[in-house]
Amino acid sequence: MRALATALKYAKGLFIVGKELNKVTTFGDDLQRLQEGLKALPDVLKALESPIYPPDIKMEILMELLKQFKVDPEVERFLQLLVERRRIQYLNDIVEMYQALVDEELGIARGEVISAFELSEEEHKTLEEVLSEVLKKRVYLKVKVEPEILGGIKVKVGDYIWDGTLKTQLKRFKEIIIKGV
Amino acid sequence: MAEGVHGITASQIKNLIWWTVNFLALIIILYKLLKKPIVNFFVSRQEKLKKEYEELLAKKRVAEAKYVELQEKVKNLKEEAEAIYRSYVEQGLKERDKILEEARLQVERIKEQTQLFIAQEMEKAKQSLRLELAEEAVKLAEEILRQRITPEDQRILFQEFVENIKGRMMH
Repeated sequence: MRALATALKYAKGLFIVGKELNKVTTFGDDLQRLQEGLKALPDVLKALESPIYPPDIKMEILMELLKQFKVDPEVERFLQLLVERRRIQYLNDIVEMYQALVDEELGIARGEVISAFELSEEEHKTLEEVLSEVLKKRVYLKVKVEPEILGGIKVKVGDYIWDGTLKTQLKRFKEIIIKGV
Repeated sequence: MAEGVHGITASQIKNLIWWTVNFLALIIILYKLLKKPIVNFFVSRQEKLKKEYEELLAKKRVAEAKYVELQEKVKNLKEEAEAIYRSYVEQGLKERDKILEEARLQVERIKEQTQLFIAQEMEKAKQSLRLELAEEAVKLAEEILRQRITPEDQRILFQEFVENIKGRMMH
């Protein structure tokens, strides 16, 4: 809980700077790229999050990392600040929260669509457009394929859930039989 | 001497008189001295006897009364015994009725409990059967769907989903 509060504090700080410089999206994209890149380098991420390594070592690692992932100078300074203040271990949470703040600012809602089969680009787009109209926000969906749901799709956006999977329908069918209705 | 041999002498008469006078004097003295104690003794004795007699009479009366009472009791004894017997019989009958009533209620309770238990067990069995049936049905349905669902079906389901959301939006 305390970690989340700290992450939120730093995310808000960066967001305010981003707004002042009119770079909230750029910062968000930079952080997203960095986060994705770190996912591919789990040892580096582990080293950054580990309390064993002192800040100067972590700073060296970060600088090496930033050579690969070019980011805005403000973002770079922000990341250095996180290392100096021994807060780099909250990077993932900070990125998530920053993204949430950006989404809120830009009227964006992010969610997930679970499908039994691979959706085509067109289907993906259609779904995002329909949900954007429903939620009055620009909706972006990540696709996750789960054959266990048998058929249909399930969409989660924030607190909203639309479940049209055959698995869920079968579950309801089972409940009806059990209740003897 | 001859006079003396053939008749009473003067000294003899004198002695006779003397003895007679002495005797009379003794009688008088005895009478004077013993009259009161003797009279008192006999009066006392008489009173004592009278008192004892009265006491005995009282005891006799008490004994007679007791005798009458006992006779009365003996006379009533049979009736009392019968009354006690009747009372015991009555109590026994009441007790029997009470025991029978309790037994009847107990039987009803056991019957109700048994019926309830049977109903619960039936319900459990039904529920278990329904659960088994549901699980089997769903399992079978899943297998069939896995085998037979086609990409075309998936597209149709997707379209239905989208239409459903659009429909909700319109309403």
